[in-house]
Amino acid sequence: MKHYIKKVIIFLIPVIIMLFIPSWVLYKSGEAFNDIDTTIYSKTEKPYVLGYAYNGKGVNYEYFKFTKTVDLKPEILVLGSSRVLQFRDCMFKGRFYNAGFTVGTIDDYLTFLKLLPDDYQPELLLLGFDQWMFNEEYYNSKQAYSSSMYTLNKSLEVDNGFLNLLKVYEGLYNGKINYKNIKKRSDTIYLGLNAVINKKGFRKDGSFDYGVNHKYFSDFKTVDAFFLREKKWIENDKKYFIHGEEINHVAIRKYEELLVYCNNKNIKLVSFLPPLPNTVNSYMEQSGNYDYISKISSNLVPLSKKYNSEFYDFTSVKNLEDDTQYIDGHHGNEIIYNQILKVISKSNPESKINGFFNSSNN
Amino acid sequence: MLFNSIAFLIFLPIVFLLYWCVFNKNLKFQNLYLLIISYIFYGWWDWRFLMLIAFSSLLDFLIGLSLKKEKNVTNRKLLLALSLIVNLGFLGCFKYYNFFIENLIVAMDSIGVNANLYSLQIILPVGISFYTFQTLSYTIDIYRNRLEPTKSWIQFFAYVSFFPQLVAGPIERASSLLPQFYKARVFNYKNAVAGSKQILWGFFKKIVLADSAAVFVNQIFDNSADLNGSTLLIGLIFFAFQIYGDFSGYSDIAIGTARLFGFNLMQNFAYPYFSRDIAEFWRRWHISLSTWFRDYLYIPLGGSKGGLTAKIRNTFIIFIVSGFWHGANWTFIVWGFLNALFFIPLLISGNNRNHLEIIAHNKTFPNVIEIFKVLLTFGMITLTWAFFRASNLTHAFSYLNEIFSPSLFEAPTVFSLKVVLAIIIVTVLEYINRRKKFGLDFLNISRFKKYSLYYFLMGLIIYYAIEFKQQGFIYFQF
Repeated sequence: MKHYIKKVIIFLIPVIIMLFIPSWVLYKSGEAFNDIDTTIYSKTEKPYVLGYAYNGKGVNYEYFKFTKTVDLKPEILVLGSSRVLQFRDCMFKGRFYNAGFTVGTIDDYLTFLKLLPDDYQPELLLLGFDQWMFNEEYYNSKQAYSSSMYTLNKSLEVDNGFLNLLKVYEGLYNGKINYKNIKKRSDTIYLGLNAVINKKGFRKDGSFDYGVNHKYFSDFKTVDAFFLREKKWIENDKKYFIHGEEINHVAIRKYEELLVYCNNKNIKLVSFLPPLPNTVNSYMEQSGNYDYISKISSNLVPLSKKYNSEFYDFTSVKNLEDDTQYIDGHHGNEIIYNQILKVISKSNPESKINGFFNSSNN
Repeated sequence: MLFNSIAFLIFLPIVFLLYWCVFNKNLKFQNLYLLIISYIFYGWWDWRFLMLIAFSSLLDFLIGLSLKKEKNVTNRKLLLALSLIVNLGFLGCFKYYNFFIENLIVAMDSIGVNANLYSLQIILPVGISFYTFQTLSYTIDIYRNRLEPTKSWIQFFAYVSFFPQLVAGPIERASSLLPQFYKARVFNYKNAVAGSKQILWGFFKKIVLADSAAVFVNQIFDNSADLNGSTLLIGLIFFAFQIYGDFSGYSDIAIGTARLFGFNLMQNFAYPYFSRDIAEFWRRWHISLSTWFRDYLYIPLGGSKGGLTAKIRNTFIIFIVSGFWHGANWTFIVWGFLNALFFIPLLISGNNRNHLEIIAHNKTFPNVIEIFKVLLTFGMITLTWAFFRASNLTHAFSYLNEIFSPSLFEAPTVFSLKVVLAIIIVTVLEYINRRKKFGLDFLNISRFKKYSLYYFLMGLIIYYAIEFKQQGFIYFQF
């Protein structure tokens, strides 16, 4: 018996050591062995950043943010793609939650809103649309989310720590992960390896922190280098910059459905198109293949007025901020998004934002 | 508790150490301890169903004692009938109620009668098909005077609920497993080492072969309407290996675990994909179920005695019942029927016992004809798996229809070299050890080679576990 146990232990020691190290890293960082529902319903007063490195694709943040919205019942709700994630709670007066990163197509806004419980609707709904949502080819290439995307916790991988053991070794080998930053204590709770190491992830208010290792404008030698990715997309008719002449009328109809819904529910709706950097705008102008964008505003502004709503187009507002304030070729930073609120507030004293915008925040 | 779960990885060493270090004082302690840990193991899934297994055990224990005392033939028959009705009644209620009700509604609807019957949301207790057959073998064997009943309820309860094979077999006869509870187990080093190796091999087949194949099989079967024939064929071949890796992997883990506790369970799979005809395949696939049906159904029906018609009838009955045992769905019945159809020609021509030894028994490699026969048998079996895996008959027929279409000659759109690698490793190692009890049963290689192989397999298990999501065992649903 003793001989057998000794033999098994000796045989398993290398395996156990091999498994223990990455398991400890994954557990300690909150990357794995961590139930996402616990994070959602956590009533901690401390600020936190939630950012998975290896489990990122496995976590459906749509579920996380929808459930968090229902739990918090914010007065001010922001909805959109990753291009609204720079709105922070300090920019507003009242209970706020940024549910950005939950929509991929224009259909998804209504799917999200209709799933909210009957006893809750936000007072102010701030919707950010992506320009390409009104591009017919882009719209047809994307599939709208089903309601289960918001209501079903599909984040099983988060529980399954074993799946990422080898990746931890890769991180340890190339120095991205080290003992110090795993053990480090701070006033902010960092959950997930991306949050622990890069300080990158979703904050408590739903906004996104790009962290300490993101490469900003100043890290690039030339302007073209910083916007190279978008330039290639524009030249090659790819991704968000698919060419289009006419505006997608299906998208306009979907927008009207949204207006009707918010009007019936007495939700104050303010929607907008986020800005693109001047350089990217000039690439698009030079290509001459984006006529549909200029038609968005002319269609949506009168439609919005009809339903007592507001729509603003910031696509090429040149004096908003300069290109150095961009996170990448199609995401502005928090200063730009604060500017958006300021511009709306000043240009339209009747704007629904005025009762909620914290103008003292700079 | 799943074998491939962290809970089991913690559970096994703890119960093993306590078994041999604390509860090894006497037989009663050992059996009581096994009973308790088996109930914990089962209750981990759903503790409510412990009542069911306890009730079945108690009933058959009492019937066993009564059968021993009872000399009156009619009363003995009544006692056996009680055991059969209650055990098969539970099985029927939990497993087949909805199937019968739904089909009754359809049948009555077709003759214009609007039946007001309701199907129920019933949870199928894990392993009910397995332990029901195990307890039935006890009462039937006592009735036939082939087995003496045990007087110890602890021994009997521990036998029925013995955790390594409780939820997915091998289905052990009382005559084989129960006597092992009569004698105190003594730790046997060789047995424990062999058991550990068999567990490692079981995990390899489950995680590396079955779970990796499952990812692609699910993808292909769920989207079969949009895929071409060659992709569907790959899906079917992958499923053939998935179900083998899954079920024989479970059996190896179960047998290996039992060996750690001093028990010997029967071999459940004997390299079935090396079979040269369907008859040989069924002697090598899920042996504990095939032999159970042979002994408790086929032989009482008359077996191969009697005329040709009786033989054919009995063969169809056994295969269709076997299909139905797997699940309450017409797909399983057709699967059983097809197997019978492939088996009958061998039975009629008297060639059903041609291949009693493993392929290339006295030589290193099989000849060309044998290879052809193996491939043909594998092809026929794989064809039947379409019905086993499909969600319904329409799905199965459309799946096969697309395979036998010109799109079979198009390039497949789903494929995985990692699954192919797993298939090759399992096939090669099992071929080398085809005369042994399991694929890692090496005796004559150096210690260095042995340990290199174990670490290599262990590394692959970890790698595949990372790469592919772990799946439940297919046979848990049966």
